[in-house]
Amino acid sequence: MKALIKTEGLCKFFGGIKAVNDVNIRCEEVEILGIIGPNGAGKTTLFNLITGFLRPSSGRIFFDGINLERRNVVGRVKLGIARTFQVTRPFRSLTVYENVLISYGSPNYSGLSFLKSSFKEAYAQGVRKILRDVGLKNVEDQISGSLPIGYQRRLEIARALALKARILLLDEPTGGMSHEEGQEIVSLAKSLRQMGLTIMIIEHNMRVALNACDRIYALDYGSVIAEGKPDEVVNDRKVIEAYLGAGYVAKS
Amino acid sequence: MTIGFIYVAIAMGLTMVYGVLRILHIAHAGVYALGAYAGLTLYLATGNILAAGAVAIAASITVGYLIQRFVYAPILGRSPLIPLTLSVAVFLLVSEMIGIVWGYYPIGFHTQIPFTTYFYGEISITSYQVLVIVATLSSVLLVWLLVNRTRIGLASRAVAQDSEMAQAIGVNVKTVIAFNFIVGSALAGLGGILVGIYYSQVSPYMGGLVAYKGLVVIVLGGFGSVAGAVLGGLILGISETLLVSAVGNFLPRESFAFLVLILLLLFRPQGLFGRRATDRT
Amino acid sequence: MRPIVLEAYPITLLTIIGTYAIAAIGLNLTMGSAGQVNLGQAAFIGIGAFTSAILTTEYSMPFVVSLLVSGLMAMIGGTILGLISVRLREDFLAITTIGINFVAVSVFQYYPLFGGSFGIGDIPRPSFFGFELSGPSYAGLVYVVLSLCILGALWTRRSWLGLAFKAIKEDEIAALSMRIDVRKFKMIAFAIGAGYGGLAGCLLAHFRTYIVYSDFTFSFSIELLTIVVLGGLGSIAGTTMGTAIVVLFPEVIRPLLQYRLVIYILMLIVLLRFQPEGLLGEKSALSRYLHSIVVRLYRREGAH
Repeated sequence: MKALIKTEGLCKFFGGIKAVNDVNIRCEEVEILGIIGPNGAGKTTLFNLITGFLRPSSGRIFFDGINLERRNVVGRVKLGIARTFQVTRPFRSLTVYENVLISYGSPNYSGLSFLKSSFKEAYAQGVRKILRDVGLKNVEDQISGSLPIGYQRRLEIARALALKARILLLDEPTGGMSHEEGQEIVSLAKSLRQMGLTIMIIEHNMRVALNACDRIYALDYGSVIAEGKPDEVVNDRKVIEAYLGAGYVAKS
Repeated sequence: MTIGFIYVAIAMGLTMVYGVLRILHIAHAGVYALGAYAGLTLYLATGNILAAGAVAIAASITVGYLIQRFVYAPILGRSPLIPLTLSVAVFLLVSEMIGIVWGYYPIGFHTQIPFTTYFYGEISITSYQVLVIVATLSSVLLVWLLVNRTRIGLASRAVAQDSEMAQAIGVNVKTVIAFNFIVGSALAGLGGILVGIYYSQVSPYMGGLVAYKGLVVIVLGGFGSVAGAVLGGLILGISETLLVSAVGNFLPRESFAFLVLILLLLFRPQGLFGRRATDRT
Repeated sequence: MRPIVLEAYPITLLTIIGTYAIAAIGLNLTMGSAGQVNLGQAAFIGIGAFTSAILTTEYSMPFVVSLLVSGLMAMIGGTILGLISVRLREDFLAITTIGINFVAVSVFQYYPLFGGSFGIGDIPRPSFFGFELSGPSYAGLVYVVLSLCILGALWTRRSWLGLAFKAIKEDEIAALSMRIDVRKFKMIAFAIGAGYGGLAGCLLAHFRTYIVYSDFTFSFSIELLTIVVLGGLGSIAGTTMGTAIVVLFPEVIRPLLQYRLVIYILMLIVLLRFQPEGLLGEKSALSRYLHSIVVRLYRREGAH
């Protein structure tokens, strides 16, 4: 299968810091790919590079064979790349429904289509369906800023879904959640994959990553240190060292 | 040229406030005008220029402190737009109140002190200009000493860099803010009375232009760097004079400062040293 | 006896309220809906006013053309401001808009094209089919334009443009991730606001028949800001009411006329300090109170 996302020699330097260092990653279509690593490993930076919020210092990123170099954030969303944020960014004063509606109407923000009315029934139906799929139907009219974290994370996913993207980049979608809530997100992700979406997840929680992903890349200090099936990567010596320190590995 | 020195002193005060609060304290110009009027009033009452100067500084310190305490302190932490708009509103308020109390027309500020003029070849300089330069240089020096050689100066620089961190290591941020406001406002008041005497008049909106030039200096000097502010002020003073002779008058003199600021913000938002007008921090 | 509504003075007031409201609603779109700050709206009103004045006095252009060109010129100015706005943090943007106001006024004063210190006079009243509009008929014209502007504002709200504005106002980065080109929409926000200002300027110019640089100073921008903040950022009805209040206020307080600006400023300060969403805005204490009254009435009726 063709890789939906491919990076070649991707680097991002901030002054002397190598946030992302010669990273080569492939994300296949209709798989759930995990990106794990300790704090500061460069995971979110990687997402920022793929989505266009950051420009690479060097290296290339391909989406479905297309070089993303010349495209800005909006251009990449147009191609079909959607993301969520590690710290949720709902439109706080707006309701859940409005949040997803804004996303749902994304094709209308190009050219002059923004003059069209947003009150059409077709849009409402589409938005409500997504809310149902993600489990937000009962909080549809709640102000998003006042939602508990579990719902906020679902809202992030709902908005990304509404973009009708081909790939979803989820940045720590279970952060701040209980184990059960996290599990629900994992099953949501799996059902999304059933619908034909590709998903890349940054996960800090090893259990979730093990559970959810088909394949995993492990990062540390900006470089890929391991890659493969979840149980392979999790038991990889370098990965354990990165998380727990060399001393721990030496002892055991 | 002498005026440039005064702007330096005023801009330094503005920078100090910006450094610790990250607010563009436009009301600073109102404090400046108030200092000038307070000084004038006392001078007309007593004829004693030193007392007038002292009162100017005292009045501006008081008003500056009140502004900090009752206008800025309660609304910190939200978007920077609200304190800015409030600051503009307070500046207008102070200027209008000055107009209401003292009248809207400029008032003459004539000192009886005889100033002599010295001639060096083609350059003439009055002893008042010397006084101004000495006064501003010494206040700049004083502030420099305060900022770099005292504990509270150190604390100020810490807060200017990262106020959360400073708080975490035990710096009393409230005291630091108050200190910077007091010193800054004092400089404004001093500047006010100096300018009033220099031009032999005061007017309610005299702060208007100063507000803008102060902003230009902040941007030139890099947002919170006192050294930068000093340098920026000098550069502004010099370039204004040069610019007018070089490019000619395609705009009234006052608008130059505005234009300079707009262009600066567009093309070189980081000024000469340091942070940017595009920063969200 | 002529009915009181056709008396000259109330008509004058109505006309002024109408033109100010157009400028204020435009400003409200920029600031309230899209969250972009513009403290120099008077500059764009001035651009519209002088454009129309010059076109009709020097070039004898028909009024309707002149009106449209005024709006257009102001819109172009707004678009440029929008381009600039992308690169600046909000408070620096604010002072830039103030600077633009001052520079505009200076330009109006300095260049003979705008009549210099004396301004432009003898601006003709518009006439259609030989009938010259003045007094009540001119007011009618103003309110026709105002209605169209309100319709435009309402349409914006219902359209994706309005939603894009809301998104930008809340969180630019999140908006970007939803395919909203923040730069483009900021430019549009400023363009529309300025364009409305330009239309208002043209209408003001032909109403007063004489304009001069000092008609468009920063104080005017502050008055408009007060209107928008008073009426509630984002609320069209509130803005219209706010305009009426601010324009009629000096009439009511004749003896305090010279303190007018001070009172506006005090109002602004109090509003900003305690209720930034405005007195009539969506979340203000006043509208919540009114809402609770309505709810209580409704419940009481339902209980029967």
